Amino acid sequence: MWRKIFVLVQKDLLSEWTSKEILSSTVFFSVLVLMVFNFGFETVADRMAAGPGILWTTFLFAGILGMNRLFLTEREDGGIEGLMLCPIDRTTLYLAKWLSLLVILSLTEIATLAVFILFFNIALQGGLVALILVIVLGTAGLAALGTTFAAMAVRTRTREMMLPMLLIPIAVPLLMAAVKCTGAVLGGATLASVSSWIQLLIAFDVIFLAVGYMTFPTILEE
Amino acid sequence: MASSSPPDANLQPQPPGTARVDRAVSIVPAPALIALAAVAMVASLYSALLYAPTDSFQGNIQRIFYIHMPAALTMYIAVTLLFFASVLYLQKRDDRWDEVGAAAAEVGILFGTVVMITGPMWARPVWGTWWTWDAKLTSTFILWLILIAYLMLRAYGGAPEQVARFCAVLGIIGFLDLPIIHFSVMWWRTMHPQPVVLTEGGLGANLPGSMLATVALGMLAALLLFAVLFRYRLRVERMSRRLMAMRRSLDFSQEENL
Repeated sequence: MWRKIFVLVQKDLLSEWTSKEILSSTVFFSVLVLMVFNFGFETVADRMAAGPGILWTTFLFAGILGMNRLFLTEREDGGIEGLMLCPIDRTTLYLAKWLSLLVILSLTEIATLAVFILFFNIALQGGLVALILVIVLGTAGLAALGTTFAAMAVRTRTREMMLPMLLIPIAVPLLMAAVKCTGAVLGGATLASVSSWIQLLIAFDVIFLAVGYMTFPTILEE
Repeated sequence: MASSSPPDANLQPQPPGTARVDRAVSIVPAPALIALAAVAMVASLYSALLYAPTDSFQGNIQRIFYIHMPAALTMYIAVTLLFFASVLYLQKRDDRWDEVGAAAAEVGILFGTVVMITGPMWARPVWGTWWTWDAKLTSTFILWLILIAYLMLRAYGGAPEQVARFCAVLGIIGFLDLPIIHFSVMWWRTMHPQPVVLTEGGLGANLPGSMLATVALGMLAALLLFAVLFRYRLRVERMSRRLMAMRRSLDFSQEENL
């Protein structure tokens, strides 16, 4: 199974590497969102207080943009039929798509974080490892839901309109936890001080990865 | 799978597999249920407005609680029903369970809207603000949004059989999200009144008996009203599906005549 996942992820990432279709738009969009937020807050103190929220809102918006493209090539060029004919479990396909999305979102977030640190003049007091852990935990959950909902949305009549409406209400607790943890890390506190939020992030990831894994064959039925 | 079966199958009065679902929704005959609900609602209003004593601290505005809390609990019951209907649909692929899910979600939104309207009406004089991001408010609001997203998916989801599958998945995800939402909003911050009915001292230990009776009556009225609305919504759903199937079969026969 791991080999199959590796091949599928390699396929997604190779096609993204040649076109750079998703990453170029999500990264550019992130910069735009951060710039707009910058104008939304007058004083430096406002900006610092809203920092974690701004960062995760940008991750979410750029992420939705990327998720909407996740199944589009399959849908438009008939690639999904090819995948269905392959001797691959649809649950394996879910894990592969989740990993591909995780990589794409992570790359977007690295660029976003760099611009965020630059614009908001953040001094990371040795909290980089903790921050990365929080971002990975948050992104894993976003990608788990995103893979499920993107596979649905691409088949609905309203397509990219549908994804944020399905994703955002369900993802609210994840965003709250991620914002609290990021705020603690940027404020110089340890992750131990927000351990219950970290547990909530892990629970969210595990639950929705499992649900996504189990329900993916249902979504792909024709 | 309405789309894959021949259109004539939907014209039969009782397709196979409906009996169990039907029995579950019609334990009490409809006219009796409506009469019961009407009596309970009048009694509940009388009890809430006239019988229950005036709260010494909040005054008369507290009486809105007798509608607010039963409506909130009924919404959560509707969502639980939606969850089980979603699981059963995915398991058995019986369209009846999809209909139950659709009806439960829509009536659930209605009760959620009652909660959303009565809440601010009470909060403004008592808390001094229409809205606050308190734990119970936030979680009820998010649940309400999830139900609206569910209806959007139902409306714009595409082919009926696909909508049924997608909605069932969303019904399950939304329900499993509830405990996580509960903890997250509780840790964020809270100012909602601590539970007054179900406290550590036991059921209704801190309430005078007349208030407790009014709460119980309100709950009964809300549940009966839910049962009535749910049954009618389910009937409308079934009739509209039969109508669609009939229209489709008419289109087919016209095409054959051309």
